[in-house]
Amino acid sequence: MKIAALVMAIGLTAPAAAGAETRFAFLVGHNIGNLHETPLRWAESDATRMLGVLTEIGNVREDRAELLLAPTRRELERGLLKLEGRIEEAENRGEHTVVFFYFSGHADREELHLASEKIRIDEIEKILEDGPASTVVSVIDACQNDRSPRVRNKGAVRAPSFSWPSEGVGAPEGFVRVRSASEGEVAQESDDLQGSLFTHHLLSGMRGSADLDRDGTVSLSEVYRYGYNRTLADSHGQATAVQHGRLDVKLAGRGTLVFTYPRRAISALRFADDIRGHVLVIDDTSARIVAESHLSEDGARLALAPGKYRIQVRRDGAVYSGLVALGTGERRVLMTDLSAQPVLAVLTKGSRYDPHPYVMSVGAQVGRSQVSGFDASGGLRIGLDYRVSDSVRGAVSLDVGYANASNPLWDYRQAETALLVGIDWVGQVSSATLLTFGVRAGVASIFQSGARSDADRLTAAGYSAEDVEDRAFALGPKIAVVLGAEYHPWSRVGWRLAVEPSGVWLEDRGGVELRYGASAVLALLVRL
Amino acid sequence: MRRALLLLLLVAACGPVRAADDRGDPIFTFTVDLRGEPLPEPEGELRAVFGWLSVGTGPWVSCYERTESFRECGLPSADDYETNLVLFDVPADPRFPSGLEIPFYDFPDSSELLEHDGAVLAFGGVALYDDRNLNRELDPMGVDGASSVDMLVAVSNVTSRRTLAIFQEGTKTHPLLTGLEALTSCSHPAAGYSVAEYEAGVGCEVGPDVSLLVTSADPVQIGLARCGGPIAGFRIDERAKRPPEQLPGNAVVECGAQNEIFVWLDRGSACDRYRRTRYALQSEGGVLFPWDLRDDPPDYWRCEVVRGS
Repeated sequence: MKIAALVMAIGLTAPAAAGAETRFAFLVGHNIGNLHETPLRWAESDATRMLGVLTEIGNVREDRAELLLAPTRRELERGLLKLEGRIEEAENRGEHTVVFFYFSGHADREELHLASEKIRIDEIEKILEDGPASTVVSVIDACQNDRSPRVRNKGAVRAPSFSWPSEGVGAPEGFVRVRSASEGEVAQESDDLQGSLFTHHLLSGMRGSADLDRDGTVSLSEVYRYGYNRTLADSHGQATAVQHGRLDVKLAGRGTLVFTYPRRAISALRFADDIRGHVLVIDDTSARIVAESHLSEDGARLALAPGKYRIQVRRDGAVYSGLVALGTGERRVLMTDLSAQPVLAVLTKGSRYDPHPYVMSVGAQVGRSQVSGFDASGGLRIGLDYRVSDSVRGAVSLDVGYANASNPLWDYRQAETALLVGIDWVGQVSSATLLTFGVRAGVASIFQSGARSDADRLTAAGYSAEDVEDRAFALGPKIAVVLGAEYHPWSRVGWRLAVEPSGVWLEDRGGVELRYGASAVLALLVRL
Repeated sequence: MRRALLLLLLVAACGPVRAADDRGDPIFTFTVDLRGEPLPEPEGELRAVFGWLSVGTGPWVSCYERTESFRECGLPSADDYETNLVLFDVPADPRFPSGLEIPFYDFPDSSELLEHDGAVLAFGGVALYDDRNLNRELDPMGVDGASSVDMLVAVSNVTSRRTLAIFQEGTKTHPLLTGLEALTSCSHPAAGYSVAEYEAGVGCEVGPDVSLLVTSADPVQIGLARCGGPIAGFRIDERAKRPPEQLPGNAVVECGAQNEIFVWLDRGSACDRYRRTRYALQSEGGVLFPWDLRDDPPDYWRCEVVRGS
């Protein structure tokens, strides 16, 4: 299950008689949620793209933007404290400060999920609201349903379809909360869009698609209205779950909260009036959809960085596309720049994607030797797991162990190896803890060497090396059952403790027989 | 599935591994040929007890460092050299039709072997017994036999000294081997275990493939075993001694072979008769010894005296 979470705080005012406006942006992306949540692919990428738009046309200077990718809770809290200090300095200079807070990742109704850690949303919002910033806008692109094991009551409540406060003239101050999904809903991301559905439309709107009044600026009301409608429409028509945006505005004062200034962009595409329909603007280099617009009769202007873009227009069941080069300034796109193309599927929801499906494990094992009478064997375990789904994993492991034994005549040493493949079933115990049950099958081998303790006497008496040394090798099938517990204190790193009863068929001088054994393994896990 | 598993094992098993208590292959296997009566069917387990009598140092042994002459060094008394007996109790694997194989997995414990100037020499003999209580040990038996447990069934043919197990170790050759070579024409045995078979007038053969000869235990040997414990039945160091001038008052004399008597002291025990000493009027095997009393036997000599030509 894919869950996208996005929090963004955008404070934007059209300063009137107040002091100069200073904008800050604090953007967080985290692909990894709790253990039961399928890792996201594009959350961190969304935060990066949001940073790009804000610094291009959002009036946010790069040195006033902070981007945290896959942070820990401590790093996030430290970043907020640092931000608060910088805002206070600006306020002391008499500047009007606007803060954008954006989060994309996993979350539930109450908390943001930072891998195995969580942080309460209201805790962040309280820091921002009580802080020195004049205006705070937070955008959370994340699920609002409650999948936390601690709370079973999902309490899904449909948000109002849309409400908007009156806007006047001046510089509004206060707090704006934007959510990508209402309570009980999941936020979705798409491999085709290479981003979350909500953030994709938000970014498209910020680039100019949402500039309904064609004044060259995109206000809060415009971008939210655009993002809400497009996300709802796309999720309703093309996704498995409908997704409603949600807005909570507590602004005082007059004026319009402006998100972005597409007119200030150094380069832009302006679509001719005769281009109508569903328009996609695709970066030709990265093949990523950078903007999407639904044009009616009066065209549109999209602020974009210079580059090559493929324009794709769907109208009346036909698809038109063309490649345009955008330099500085405004590039006008005409219908003649486009040619009819075979219908291509766009915006289809891709399969879920796990960016870290492989888990490598390295650890120590100790257990009963596969040959009777030997001391406990100890050794190394290297494994690789592949996450098939939230509850199923494929596994392959290589064991290398050592054991020794002695009797009054011989000292034996042996290397024990086993190559096993199998499958694990995974159950969630807490946000950071898993229990696993698995089965394994493969081959085990033993290389054994022995030396007589009285080799010196025998050699002196004329016995050969073959009489005083012995080497043997045996190979046989092995099966095992794995009972494990995993603890993941960090997003990419964890620990596994497992016990493994096993059986192996090996030949010794007494013949081939099934030997039972057991081992314990403590391993370090790293998600690749 | 089962066939596939077996096939995999056949292909993959390049050699059997050993369990921790695996002693490996025997380093030497004694072949024992049984002469005479066949062994009775054991009530328990047929086992063998092997005795190694190591020869240490002493004036008699040192004598052979100076000379190879057995005649010069003479027949020793008990004080003339050191001996120590080491016992091995081992299973005996019957070998058709009338033999046994006794595997040895190691040498006798060094700490129990006497040596002379770094040279170790031990002579071995074997006794077979019916381990009726299956405790893998030849148990001493009571005098009256009421508490008898195990039964001695065969012993090395030591009285004729026809076969003898030999163990030799060390960087030097034990001086006694030099004397024996001069006396019996036996070649030097190799280091480790070997068997020597000697027959007067025929010659001597030494090597690992020579079999030890055992015969069914006679009543005397069984009695020795009953009365003397686990080692009494095969006293390989028993030898004829020079007859003393007088015997104690309670001495009992029994006639033995030609010009030999057996003497034991009657102390009131039934086992006294098995603790006897063999006295001879002259040397054995035609070798000159320091006495020849055929013309003047002691007064207590009641047995026939055969004088040579």
